[in-house]
Amino acid sequence: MSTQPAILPKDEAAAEGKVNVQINGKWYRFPKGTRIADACNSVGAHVPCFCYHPKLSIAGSCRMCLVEQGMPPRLAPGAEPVYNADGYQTISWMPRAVIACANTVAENMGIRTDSPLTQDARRGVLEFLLTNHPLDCPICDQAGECKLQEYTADYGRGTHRFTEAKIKKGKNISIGERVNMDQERCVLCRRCVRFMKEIVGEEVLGVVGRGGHNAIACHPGKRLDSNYSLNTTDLCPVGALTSKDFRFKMRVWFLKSTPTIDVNCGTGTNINIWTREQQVYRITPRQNDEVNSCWMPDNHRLNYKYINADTRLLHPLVRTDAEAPQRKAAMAPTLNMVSTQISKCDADQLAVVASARMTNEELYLTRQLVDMLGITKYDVVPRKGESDNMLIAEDRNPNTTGSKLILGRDGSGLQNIFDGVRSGAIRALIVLNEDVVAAGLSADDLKGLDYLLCVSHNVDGTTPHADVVLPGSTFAEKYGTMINVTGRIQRLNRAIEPPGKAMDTWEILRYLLVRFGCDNEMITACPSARHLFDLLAGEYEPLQGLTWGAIGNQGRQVIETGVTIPLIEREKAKK
Amino acid sequence: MSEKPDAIDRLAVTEPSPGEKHFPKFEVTPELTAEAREYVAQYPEGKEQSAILPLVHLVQEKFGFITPAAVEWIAQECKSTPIHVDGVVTFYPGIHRRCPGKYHFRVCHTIACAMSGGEELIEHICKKIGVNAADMGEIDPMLVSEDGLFSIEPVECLANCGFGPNVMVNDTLHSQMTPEKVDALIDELKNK
Repeated sequence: MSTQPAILPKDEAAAEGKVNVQINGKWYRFPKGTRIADACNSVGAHVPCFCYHPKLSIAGSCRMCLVEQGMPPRLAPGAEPVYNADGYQTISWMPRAVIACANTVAENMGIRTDSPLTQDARRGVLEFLLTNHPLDCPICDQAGECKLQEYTADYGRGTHRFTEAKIKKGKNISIGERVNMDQERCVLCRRCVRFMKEIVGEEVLGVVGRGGHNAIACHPGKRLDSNYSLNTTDLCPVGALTSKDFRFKMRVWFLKSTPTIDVNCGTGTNINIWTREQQVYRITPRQNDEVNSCWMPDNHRLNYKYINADTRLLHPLVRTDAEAPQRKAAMAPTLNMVSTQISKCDADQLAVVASARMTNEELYLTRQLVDMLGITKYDVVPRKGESDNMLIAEDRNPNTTGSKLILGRDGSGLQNIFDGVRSGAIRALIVLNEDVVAAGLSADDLKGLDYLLCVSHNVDGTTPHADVVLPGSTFAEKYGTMINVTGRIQRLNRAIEPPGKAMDTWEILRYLLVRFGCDNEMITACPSARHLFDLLAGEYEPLQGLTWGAIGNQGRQVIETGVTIPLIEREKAKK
Repeated sequence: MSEKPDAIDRLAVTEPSPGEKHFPKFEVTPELTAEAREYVAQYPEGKEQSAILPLVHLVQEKFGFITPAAVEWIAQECKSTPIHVDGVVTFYPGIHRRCPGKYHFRVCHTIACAMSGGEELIEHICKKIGVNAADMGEIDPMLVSEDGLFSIEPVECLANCGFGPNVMVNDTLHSQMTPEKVDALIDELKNK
């Protein structure tokens, strides 16, 4: 006992509010209350889980996370604990495995994730999960990102001993407008049931039947039609719930995922865009506990079709004469022509309608343009909707905060511009990434203009009336930053190249600035949106000292707007 | 999409049974609601869901089985959701989603009863009431006679293993049954 250290590790750890845990023979310290599964995963000892999800309540139903666990022996009355040379008590291992998701770490606990007992337990669980599984990976949409497939390869037996007939359950059931179910593939982890009950608050899914006949179902007539239903397909560790939009479109291992943000509302939900060969196949939410937790609304998720639509503008369109049809043109001469045409306009009679869907970098160059030309009439199009009390913000523009900061406009002056167009005080209009017809101007109002320049990625209500249309890029093709409703700056990353001759709006604006004689080399020679951000960071106080890299994939809080995201507030209150 | 009802549509379907003519049709009456609320009031606020099982028993006792309409009514009374009640109803084999006969025979075929003649008794009763034992389904093994008077269902232990084979007719337990005793019982019930 003389070899016992002067200060025991348990006392050292207790002072920090932590406990000592031995994982696979090595000692680590974790805060009290850490789940065994989280503790093991954080030190690289992988624990397979089906039912455990950090954002949902613990079910402990799949038994996949079984690990061997041990504690110091319980002392006889009056006995003193014995510590070894390192200051730890001997661990006596329990004869049966425990589940790592429902148990928390304790002082001097031992965990083995690679012992024969653990391996046996996992093999056994997998063998049972597979008894009634249809083993239809070749035709299953989840193949490639299926936990059951992965764990079977990692921990399974490779053969199975079950020779009886498998229980037949429902297949290809439409349980909602956007979700399809295959009950046979289900491992009954109940993540979908818990998600609908705990996060959405609509208990439409449940488990019916008993034993081998257990299946996920919804009550007839009460379908899974929530605007958050597609999150269940992300949660589903197997191919039981699949997205009707994505199923059978593409094998997931062919897809490349790009972390970026959603631009359908001011929340700026963090997403991954899944692409192959310049085609967007699906969007999935990406975890960010300050913005969207792990979820996203269905209507935002599915709003990507326009990126690869036939209505995309691939060339500049030019109308050479009044009433003449628009004709395709090359980019460089069109930009030359546009700059000449704009310089002929009187700055008092020229207005710019920009968009709060543009990135900070694009707004910055818009600002340079209006300042250089002396334009005073410029604003963005406001988009107000109703908050769904979950993730969708009232403000349907993704970058109103950025627009207020950089352009100094929030959309309140748009009607003045429109009135000017109607009264004839404004003779020329530059529309950047917006549809002014949808925003309230009529086709007749636009016909009264002398000159209408549009930058747009798709044919919309405004482009047919424009004298010149320049093809722009969608959010999937952009590098840039946006500031969400809460004042968090987040990065957009390019998932695919702009199609045809389409260009980022900042590039178009830079060309124009060069032709108008801008002498700031940082702008005229700017090679990427990233460099523009450095300019922004130097100029605007809230962005001071920030760099592209420092924003990272999780964003940075830069402004306090006081606006909160209801779902995130609820999640924080739960903790 | 196929024409056949899928696994979810089937939750809404009540298979027809000749037993239905011996039971009243499920109907929500003020008396029923009052009785249900008495059960619900037994549980603290926020835990109304606990009354699901008592209400399921109440409905089954009065109407013989649980219809989808009853599921929705129970869910509403217990401040729960229909799918949760569906889960409870489909979990217990003792709760019927199809109407049994007026006299429901539960024949034990767990080991003690099976060894003392329970399995043969099932065959015998089936023959006596005119149903085919081979028609018993895996999930819902109940068979109902054509006149709706009798139904038979093999069940697990009736907790009277020392005196097998055991048969429970509605709520009355008959132990040490033989084919002769069963015949006599069925004849007696038929003439009641």
